[in-house]
Amino acid sequence: MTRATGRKSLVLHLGVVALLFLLQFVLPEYHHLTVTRIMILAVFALGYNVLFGYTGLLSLGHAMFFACGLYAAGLTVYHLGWDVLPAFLFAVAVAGAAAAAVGMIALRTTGVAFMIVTLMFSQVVYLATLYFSRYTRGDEGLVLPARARSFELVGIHVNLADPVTRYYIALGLLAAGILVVHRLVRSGTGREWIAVRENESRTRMLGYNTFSIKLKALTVSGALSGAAGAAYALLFAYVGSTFASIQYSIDALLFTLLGGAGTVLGPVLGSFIMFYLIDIFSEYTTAYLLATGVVLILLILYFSVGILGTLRRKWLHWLP
Amino acid sequence: MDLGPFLLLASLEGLVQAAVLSLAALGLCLVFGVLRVVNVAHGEFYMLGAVIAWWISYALFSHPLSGFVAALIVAPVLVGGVALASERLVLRRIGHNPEATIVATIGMLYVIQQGVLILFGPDARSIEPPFYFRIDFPWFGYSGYKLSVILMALGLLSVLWYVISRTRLGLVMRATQLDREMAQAFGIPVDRVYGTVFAVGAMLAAVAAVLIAPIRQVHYLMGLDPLLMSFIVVIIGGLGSIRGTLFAALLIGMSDGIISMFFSPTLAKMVSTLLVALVLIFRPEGLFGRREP
Amino acid sequence: MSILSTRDLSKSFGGIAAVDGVDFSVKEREIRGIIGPNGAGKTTLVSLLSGRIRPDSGRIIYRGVDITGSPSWKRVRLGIAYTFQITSVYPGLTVYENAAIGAQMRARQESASRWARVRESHVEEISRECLRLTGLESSWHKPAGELAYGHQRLLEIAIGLALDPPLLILDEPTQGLSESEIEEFIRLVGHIRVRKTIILIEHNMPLVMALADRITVMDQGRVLAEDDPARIRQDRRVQEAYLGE
Ligand SMILES: Nc1ncnc2c1ncn2[C@@H]1O[C@H](COP(=O)(O)OP(=O)(O)OP(=O)(O)O)[C@@H](O)[C@H]1O
Ligand SMILES: [Mg+2]
Repeated sequence: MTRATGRKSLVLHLGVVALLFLLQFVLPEYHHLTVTRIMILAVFALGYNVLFGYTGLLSLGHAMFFACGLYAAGLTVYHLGWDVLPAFLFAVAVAGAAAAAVGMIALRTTGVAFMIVTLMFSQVVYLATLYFSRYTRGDEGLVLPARARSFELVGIHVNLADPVTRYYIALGLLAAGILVVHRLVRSGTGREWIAVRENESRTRMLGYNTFSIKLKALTVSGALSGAAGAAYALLFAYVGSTFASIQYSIDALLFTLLGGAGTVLGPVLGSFIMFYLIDIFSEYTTAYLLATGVVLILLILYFSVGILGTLRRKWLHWLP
Repeated sequence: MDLGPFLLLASLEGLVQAAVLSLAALGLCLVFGVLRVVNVAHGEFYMLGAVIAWWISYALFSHPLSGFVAALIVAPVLVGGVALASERLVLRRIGHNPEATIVATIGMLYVIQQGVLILFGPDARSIEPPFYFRIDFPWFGYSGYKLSVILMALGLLSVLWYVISRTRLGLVMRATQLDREMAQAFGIPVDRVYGTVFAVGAMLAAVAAVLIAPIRQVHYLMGLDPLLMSFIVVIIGGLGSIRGTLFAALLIGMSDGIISMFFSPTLAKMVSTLLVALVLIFRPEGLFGRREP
Repeated sequence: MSILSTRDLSKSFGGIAAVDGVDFSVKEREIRGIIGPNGAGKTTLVSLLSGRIRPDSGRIIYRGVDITGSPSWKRVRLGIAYTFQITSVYPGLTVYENAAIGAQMRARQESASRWARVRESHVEEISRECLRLTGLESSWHKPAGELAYGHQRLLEIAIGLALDPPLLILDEPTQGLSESEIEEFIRLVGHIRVRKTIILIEHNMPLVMALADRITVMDQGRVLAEDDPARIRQDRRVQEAYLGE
């Protein structure tokens, strides 16, 4: 890729961040909150995409990393009285470490076995959140105390109960996520990920230790997912078992597929569209997950490269 | 109760569980063996079977026995039809690609489950057993229907065994399982075999559900548990091996009943899921399968 | 001085001895041809050398080090590059990216420390050079999957060259190439032979006779003969093995 397209793509990604910044001024209050949620979930999808879209490994268990971040942040704040910032950083580290640990064994498998194994590990984490209900209160969950609704950063008082602040924090996290992924996938690391995705055995025969490449991708992916989980817990002051359920793993996959796997912005776009689709659908029926099912089938049948994947194929060849 | 009778009771419960589980797991195993795909919607075919059984016994028949017999025939046929249609409309179009199939069957899972939620509602309902009689042991009485579930499952398994090992359909299936290209070269209509096997797999799940429905309740979310249990059985049994699957179903069905009596069911599930994941990673040929040299 | 040698190397697939007690040794800067009828075990032998498959028994020594147990990617880093008999490029990526994946590995090895950043300009330089050598420069932006078959084979070689390996194993590189592409290939080998050891599996007799310094003849997993091209041409057993095919 040349320097010119590199600049073009950076401008595009910064433009999207700027757009999201401006969006808050025109949004009604209800959508304000929705968009805040979506931006956090988009970070989750962004992380998922590193593994699925760029490295070609389809995980059905990413809810476990989201939940790792969620619970690591929530439990340290709730039980140990940690401050918000250290809890967040700790949570990201825990999720990354969990992903690395899972990867050490799960990455011995490939394809379908990898999907099933990640699904099962994630189920174990879900069951653990129920089993240790003494600390997590299972399905019912924990509401974080008022003390954890604000923190000081370089002398500035940040109030997490304020919607505008929350919007900025979510946006900041998403912007950081986009720029990190953008940079990574255009670097040598990204080239290695894509090489593994396109032809793993060839890549090994070019001297690459493909296992450690995949492990790195999974760790980055898990850490980003965990960051999303931690932010969700801290911004909305709640942790509960549902966030560890299979449903969330499927959502990450769905958002990524819809927006376009293997494009930086695809998962972000997918999160927005799918979240609103389900939101609208659930006004009419309690069976709103029907939308999830139908969209999944349609995507697999007719649209497996997703929205941005199609755009890239047709017009924007330079899109990272 | 003393330990002896207590274990007898636990074993009987375990046998009922194993009987039903072996049918459901065998369905998953056949599909994996022949099509080389994992059907994540398998549990929903099971749920659909139970829901149809409820509907038949309540809407159409006043007598539980005639309702049960009708359900035993109609539910698998309808479920088989749904499965056949989804194989045609979805799986065949993605060429039975293993990874895409998992995603597609996850989609099917939601469509079936949420469809039933719309039509059947969120409530759990029960079905009356087709007959009541108690068998009296010296220590406790036991439901005759439950014992008959074991017998019916054994009967169905024998029929299935006969079909697979003695009929042309079975031969064609085994040939396709061994080598798809070769089978095609010998003029076996592989596409038709795939459709049939997918439908038969779903029908087995439906039959299992019809048998268990009078004992358990019918609910639109009831598919998840048999799906996970079937996964466990098929993996322990060595993916695609029929004998291994039956053996594993017996083992898991029995031990699940007994373990759940002593430990927290959540802990039991956690540990077993983790162990099975490790089996899949370190012994993908299953616990009883022979390792390729 | 031998760069690579094997001792009593064996590998069988379900009863068929694909490689059967092979002792084999290649000298530094030599071009070694390997010939033999279909199924003789040539691909299996070089797969063992490159670590793609593991031997049942025997040893492999590279520059005095026993590499029998080391994984394939480590052998590549030691300097044994391998191009596939069945074309194995990255069909979804551009020709340039294909070469760049190989080039990045080389740039990484040339960089001072493990943690030093690999400069993209260096990767680009290597990639362009390899594409130029193989005559693929003009199609650098095309997806590799859209190249004609012969060009994909050349790309396969270009990726291998990007590693700049001391030892290059080419498994039937000219299979399916046109006359003019074969000319191109011969020129290429002439260009790189000064600095490299090459193991060349070929069915094209005139080609291998012209290029190789020595030729190993395999049949049914064993080494039937090994000598310089002129003598191999005269060898009765070799002629029988081919005629008896
Ligand atoms: N992965 C494998 N599984 C089973 N048998 C194999 C495998 N690879 C090779 N063989 C068998 O080993 C023998 C040697 O095969 P190999 O590919 O090494 O021959 P070759 O000399 O490269 O032939 P060709 O000139 O056709 O490329 C053959 O009988 C082949 O059928
Ligand atoms: Mg060969």
